[in-house]
Amino acid sequence: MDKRTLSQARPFLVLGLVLLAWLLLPTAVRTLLRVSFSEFHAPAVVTASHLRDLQAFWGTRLHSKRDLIEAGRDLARLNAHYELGIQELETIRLERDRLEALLDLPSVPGYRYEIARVARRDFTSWWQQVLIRKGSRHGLEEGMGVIFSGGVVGVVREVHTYTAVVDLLSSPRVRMAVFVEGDDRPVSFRGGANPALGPAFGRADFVPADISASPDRPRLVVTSGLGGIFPAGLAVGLIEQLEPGPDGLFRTGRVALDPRLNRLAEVAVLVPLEDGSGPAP
Amino acid sequence: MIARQLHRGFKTKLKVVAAIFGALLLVITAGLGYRQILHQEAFSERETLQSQRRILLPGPRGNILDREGRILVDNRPRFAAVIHLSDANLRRQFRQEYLTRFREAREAGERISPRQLEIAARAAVVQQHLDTINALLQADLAIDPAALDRHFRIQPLLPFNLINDLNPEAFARLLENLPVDSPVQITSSHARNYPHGPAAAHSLGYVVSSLDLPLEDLPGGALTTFATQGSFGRSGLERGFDDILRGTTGLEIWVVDPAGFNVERIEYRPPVQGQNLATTLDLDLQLAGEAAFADRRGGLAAIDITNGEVLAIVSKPAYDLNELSPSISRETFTRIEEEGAWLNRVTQGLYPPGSTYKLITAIAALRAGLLDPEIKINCPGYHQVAGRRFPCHNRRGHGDLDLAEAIRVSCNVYFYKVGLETGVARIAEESRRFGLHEPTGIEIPFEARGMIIPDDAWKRQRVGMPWFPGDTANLSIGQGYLRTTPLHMALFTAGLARDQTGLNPTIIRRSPSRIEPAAATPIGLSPLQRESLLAGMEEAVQQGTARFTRLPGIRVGAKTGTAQVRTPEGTLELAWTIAIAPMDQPRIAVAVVVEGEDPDVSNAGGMVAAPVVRQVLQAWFQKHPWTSPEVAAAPPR
Amino acid sequence: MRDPRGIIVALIGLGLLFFTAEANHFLALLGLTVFFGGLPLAFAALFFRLRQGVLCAAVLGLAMGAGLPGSPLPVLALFLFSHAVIFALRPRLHAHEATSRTIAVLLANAICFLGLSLLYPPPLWALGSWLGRLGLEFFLSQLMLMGMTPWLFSLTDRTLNLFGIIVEEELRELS
Repeated sequence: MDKRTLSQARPFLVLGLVLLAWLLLPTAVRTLLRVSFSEFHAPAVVTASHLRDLQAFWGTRLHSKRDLIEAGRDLARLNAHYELGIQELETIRLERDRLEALLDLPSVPGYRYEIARVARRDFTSWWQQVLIRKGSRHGLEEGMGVIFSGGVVGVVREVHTYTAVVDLLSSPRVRMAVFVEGDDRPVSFRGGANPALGPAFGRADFVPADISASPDRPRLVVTSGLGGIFPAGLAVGLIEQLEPGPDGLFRTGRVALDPRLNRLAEVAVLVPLEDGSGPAP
Repeated sequence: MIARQLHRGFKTKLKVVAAIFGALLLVITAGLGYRQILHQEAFSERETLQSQRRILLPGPRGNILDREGRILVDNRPRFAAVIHLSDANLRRQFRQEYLTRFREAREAGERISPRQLEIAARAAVVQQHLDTINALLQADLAIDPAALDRHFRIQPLLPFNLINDLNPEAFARLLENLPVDSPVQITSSHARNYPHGPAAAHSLGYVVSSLDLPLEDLPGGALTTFATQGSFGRSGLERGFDDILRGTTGLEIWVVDPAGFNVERIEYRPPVQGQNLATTLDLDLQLAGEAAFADRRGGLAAIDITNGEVLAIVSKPAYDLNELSPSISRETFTRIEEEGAWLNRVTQGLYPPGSTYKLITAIAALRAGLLDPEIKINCPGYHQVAGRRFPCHNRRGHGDLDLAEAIRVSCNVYFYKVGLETGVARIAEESRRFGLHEPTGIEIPFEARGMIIPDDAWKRQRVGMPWFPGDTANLSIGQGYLRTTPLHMALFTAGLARDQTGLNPTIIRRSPSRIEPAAATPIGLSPLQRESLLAGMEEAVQQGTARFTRLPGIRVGAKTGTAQVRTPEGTLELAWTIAIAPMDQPRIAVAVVVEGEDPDVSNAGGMVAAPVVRQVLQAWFQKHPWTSPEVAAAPPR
Repeated sequence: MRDPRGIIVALIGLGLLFFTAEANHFLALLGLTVFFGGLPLAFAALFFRLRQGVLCAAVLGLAMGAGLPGSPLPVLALFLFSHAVIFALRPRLHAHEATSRTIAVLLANAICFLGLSLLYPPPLWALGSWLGRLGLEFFLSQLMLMGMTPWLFSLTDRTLNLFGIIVEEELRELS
C-alpha cells in the first residue's frame, strides 16, 4: 500500500478507533458525556428563549394604550368565563368524589399541571421534539404526559435539571392507547411524520371495523385514560379516513394532528399526584 | 556430477509430482466449474431452501348471519403481549446474560452444560421483560423455561406469547408504556365471538384450533414452514360450511441468518377473511324460543311453511359458545358432557312423538278410505285389544266423537280403533311418505339416522318377535317403538299445512333462483278430509288440549301430545306440541318437545310445550303485524 | 491546549448549529427545517491536520447527538465519517478555490443528511410525506449553504487569525 493510499485511509482508521473507544468506554462515562453536552446546550437555549420572550414583551409594549385597554377588557371577560368554569368544575369534582365514596370506587388518578414555556421547537424530518423550560427541579420525570390547550402534545423523553425534552405526538417514537370519540374500545395511536407546509399526522391501528370516518364526517380521537399517562378525553387528532384491514376485524386510519402543534409556545406537563386527588386549580 | 544427476532425477520427480498436482487441480477446477455452471439451479435452490423460511398466516373466518343480516357469529380481536425472539437487541441480551452466567459458574467452580446455561440465560432475559410487564400490570407472571426453549428450537421466527387475551386496560397500559422499539410488542389475533352466547349453539357449532391451513396457490411450498394457529369447524354450520367460512391463508417469506432468525421479509400476502354465511334463522324467534324454554330440556324447530326455511332451532340444555372460544377447557367439556348438552335434540334427539302422531294415523286411514271424518266413534274410556285393556286419558270416556272432535280432545280410543282398522303397514307407509324414517337433509352435520318407523318386518328383525295388534294400538297414538326427531315433526306439520309431503328443510339462505324445487307430492286427501284435520287442530287451540297456544286475533292450529319413555329413574313424560299459524294462510310451523325430568311430576304437552309454542308464535306475529293487528300491539316480550 | 484550532472551529460550528436551531424554531411554523452540519466539518477536513479535524467532528457530533433520541454514537460516527470522506478527498480538491470548498461543504452536508435519514427513518406508511419534506429541506439547505460557505469560511479564517493561526500557510505546508 503506497503512502498516499495509506494517508487517505487514515481518517477511516481513526473513525474506527474512535468508535471502538466509545464502545469500550464504561456506560457511566458515556452517560456523563452525553448529559454534559445536553446541560452545556441548555443555558444557551434557555437564554435564547428568554430573549424571545423579552422580544415579545417589548413588541407588546409598542401597542397603543387603546389596544392594551381593549385586550385587558377581553381578558377580563375571558377570566370571568373561566372563573365560572372553575366553579362548575369544582362542583363536578365534589360530586365525583361523593360518588366514588358511595360506590367504593378507586379514585381517578389526579395530576398537577406544571406549566412550561417552549424553549425550542425542533421538528425535523428525522425527529420531532420540543425543549421546555422545566426540568427535574420542577418535579418532571421521564414518561410524563404533556398537553396544551388543543389537547395532547407528547411525552417527556429526557429530563435535565432545568429543561426537558418532549417527544411530539407526531414522532414515531410516541405510541398511546386512544378512543375514537363515542366508543370505548382502545385503539393504538402512533406518531407518523410532520410534512412540510401541512399538519403533522399519526396513525390509528386496531380501530374496530364497525367504526367509520370520512373527510366529511371525521372522528375525533381522544386519550383513553387507560394507559396511566394521560387522563381520558384529551384531543389527539381527527381520523378522516379508515382503510379496512385484511383480517376484517380492524381498520387503520391516518390521524391528522392539531396544526397548532407547530406553533407551540406553552405547554403543561401532567405530574401525577401521589394521593390521587384531583388536579390543582 | 553425481549431484547434478541427483538433481536432474529430483527435477524429473518434481515435474511428475507437479503434473499430478496440476492434473488434480484441473480435475477439481473442472469439477467445480461443472457443478457451479451446470448445477447452478440446483445449488441456487438449495441456498434458497436453507436461507428462506415461510410463515403461514390463517385468514379470519367469515361471519354467520341471521336471515336479516344480524350477526350470529363473528370474530373478536384477541390482543396478546409477545416477545420477538429474533430481535437483534434481545439476542444481544441473551449473549450477555450467557457470558455473565458462564463467568459466574466458572468462578464458582460449577459444572453446567452450555445448553443448560443457554436455556437459563434466555429464560432470565425473557423474565426480565416479563417483569417489566408485571410491574405495569401489577401481575406476577413467570416464564416456563422449557416452553420457551421448545419454542426457540421449533419456531424461532414466530413470536413467543407472554400474555394471551389482554383486557382493554392491560392492552392500553402496555401500548403506552412499552418502548416502540421494544422486543415485546402487542399483537392481535382473532377468536370466534358469539354475541348471543348459547343461542342456536347446536346449529352454529364451534371451531377448534388447527395448524392445518388451506394452502391454495401459496408459493414456497418447499421452504421450511411455520404456521400460526388457525381454526376449523368442529360441529354445526361451522363444520358444514368450513370451506366457505374459512379464510384464505396469507404468508410471509423471510430471509434468515445461519442461526435461523429473520433478517428481511421478502414476500407478504395478507390473509383474507372467509365469506359470510347467511342463514335462515330469525334471531328474534330464536331468542324467544330460548327464553321460552328457560331451564327445561328439549327441542324446538320453527319452519317457514312457504319454503321450508328453518326459522329457529332450540336445543336445551345448551352451552355458551363463548366458553369454547378460543379453546375448550377440560372442565367445560366435562360439564357440558355431564349435562348432556352436546346433543342437538332437534336433529339428533329421537323421541316417540306421542299424540301428535295421531294426525298421521288419521291421514293413513283417510287415504285408505277406512275413515269417514264425519262418522262418530264411541270412546268408553278404554279399548280392549287382544285381551289387553288400552286406556284413554279420559278414563270416563269421551263418548261419540268425529275426527275433528277426536283431535280436539286427543282421544286415544278413537285412534286405537282407527289405527287397528288401518293396519300397521299403511300407517308406517304414511310415515315414510312424510320422510319420518330418513334424515331430513338439513345442512347441520351429524343429523340422526336412527329414526324408527316400526312395522312387522322391523320388529321381527330388531326385536325378534312378531307384530301384535297391541303394537298397532301403541303406534296409532305415537307410542311404542316409534322414534323421530322434533325437526321431522316440524316438517310434517309444515307439510300438512302445505298439503304436501317431501318438503326439504334448509338453514342456509339462498336466492330464490337457487332454491332447489322440493320433490313435493300432494298428501292426497279430499278437501273435506283435510278440512276435518285442520278444524280439529284449530278447535284444540280454541277449546281443547292446545289452548295454551292461543293467541288473540289469530287462527292457530295445534296438536299436543304426551309420550311416555321408560328410563332407569322411572317413566318420564315427553310434552309435545306441533302448531300451524295462521290457519287462513299458513306461514309458520312449530314443533316442540319438552323432556320431563321427574317421574312423579306431570309433563303434559298441553301444559308444558304449548306455552313454548305460543311464545314463539307471538314473536313471529310481532314481526309480521299484517297478519294480526292485535298481536302487533302487544308489548314485546 | 497547544493547538486550539480544532476547538475554535468546533465552537464556531456549535454557534452555527445553535443559530440554525433558532432558525428552525421559527421555520417549524411552516413545517420546515434546514441543516448546515456539513459546513464546519468540511472546513476542518480541508484545512486541518487529521487530529484537529477529528476533534472538531467529534465535538460537533457529540453535541448534536446528545440532544437526540437514543445513543449519540450514530451521529458521532456519521460526523466522523463525513469528515473522513472530505479528508480523504482533500488531495483531489483545491481547498484554496471557492468552488472546491463549496463542493466539499455540499458533499459533507449531503453525507450528513443522508446518514441522518438512514438513522431516523419514518414508519413505512409515512414514507411518502416524509420524502417530500426531506427533498424540500435538502434542496433548501444545500441552496443556502452555497451562499453561506464563502462567508462562514471567511469568518472562521478571521477568527483563527485572531489566535495567530494562518490557515492558508498551513494549507501550503500540508500540500
